[in-house]
Amino acid sequence: MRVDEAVPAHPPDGAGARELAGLLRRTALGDAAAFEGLYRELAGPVLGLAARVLRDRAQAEEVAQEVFVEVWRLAARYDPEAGGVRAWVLTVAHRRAVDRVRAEQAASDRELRAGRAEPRSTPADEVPDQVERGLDRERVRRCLGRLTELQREAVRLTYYRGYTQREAAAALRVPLTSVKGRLRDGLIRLRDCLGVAG
Amino acid sequence: MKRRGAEPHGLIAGYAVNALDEAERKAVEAHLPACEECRRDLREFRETAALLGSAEAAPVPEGLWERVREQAGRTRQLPPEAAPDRGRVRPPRRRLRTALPWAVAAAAVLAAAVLGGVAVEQNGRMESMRAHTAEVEALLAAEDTEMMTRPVSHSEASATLFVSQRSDTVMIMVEGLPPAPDGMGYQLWYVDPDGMRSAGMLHSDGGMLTGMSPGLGDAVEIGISMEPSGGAEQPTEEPMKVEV
Ligand SMILES: [Zn+2]
Repeated sequence: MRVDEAVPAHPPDGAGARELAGLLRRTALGDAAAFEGLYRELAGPVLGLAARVLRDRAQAEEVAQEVFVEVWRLAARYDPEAGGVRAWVLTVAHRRAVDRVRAEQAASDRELRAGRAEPRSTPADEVPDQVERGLDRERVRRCLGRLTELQREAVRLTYYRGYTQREAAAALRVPLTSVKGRLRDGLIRLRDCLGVAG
Repeated sequence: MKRRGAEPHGLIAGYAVNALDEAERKAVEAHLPACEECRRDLREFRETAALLGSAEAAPVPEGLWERVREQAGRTRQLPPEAAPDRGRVRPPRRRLRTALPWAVAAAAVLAAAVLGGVAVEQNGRMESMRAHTAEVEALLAAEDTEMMTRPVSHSEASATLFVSQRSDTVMIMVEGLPPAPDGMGYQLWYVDPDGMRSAGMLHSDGGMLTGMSPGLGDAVEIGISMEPSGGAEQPTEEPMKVEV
């Protein structure tokens, strides 16, 4: 049976799902201290994710600022049925970062318009192994290592680089349907490896 | 229509990591309210992605909080959305507020149809017509009004409904029923768990039946039966049904 708890009991070295939910509930009531608590818990992940996708520190900070203002604005509209607070906030952060990548991409496409096969250059896998990022990072690295090559590429290009599935298919020179399939398989395998599924 | 279960199901992973193009994204968003399985997949994929994202955590410069706090201080918080009625399981509905433009257009057409019907019906009684217009407008403007299109059982007909729990009102437009013979008409019923209540006679207008009725209460279905034009206390035949 599936347990009614969407988030693994804890994100290591961070507030638990329940604590975040409490902070968000109070934020929704205009509680500035709770909002700051939420920010302290999630600013690191939000900023880091945005920086990873955008590869630009200054832009990542702008995105993080937008994300938290949006969290403040929409706190009362958060729907627990759609997932945990951490997932909600990081989904917002990812979407905003990806939107920026796409807007920039559209601009540079207009300039280039050269018709290359690859929509963007794809430097070798840079799945993180910078510095000491603790358990989280190690666990994710290990789980990414368990994917097939194509699954990992599909996840890397879409999630970490902000490609659409279509762009990822072009970059990898495989049919769109296989990117869709590998991305799905990859996320399922990550989900199980990271202990998200009940 | 695509066969249910084909495309949007396969797009949830892409949706969870924001990797869909615009048309695909819209297809998924239209599909999600109707598919428990996809909502569960999406929840799990987002939790998974959140762990990937959390693993990227970076040191945060102190100045960032000041900027966030300052901007949040100038930003109005939105109130919660009207709580959905989770009391009973129902087919998905489309909220007018978030509806696509076609739904808004359909709403306008339907409103015009209902108002037209009322105007003909009550020709010469401008008072009540004006009152009715206000009711229709109030229903369309209500925060929780939802639009649905449903088949009418035991017929080829389909019904478009606007339902507001809060104003306890249903507006309905039925297309595809044969015209009633002279002296007869179609009567609307609210079907409660323990019986039926009349919700009035439908207006017939150019092959379209329209009506608007308060008193929805806890009705789980709407019934439509053919009755004498004056209406019946209880249906004289088993009504056709429309889910709400
Ligand atoms: Zn589905």
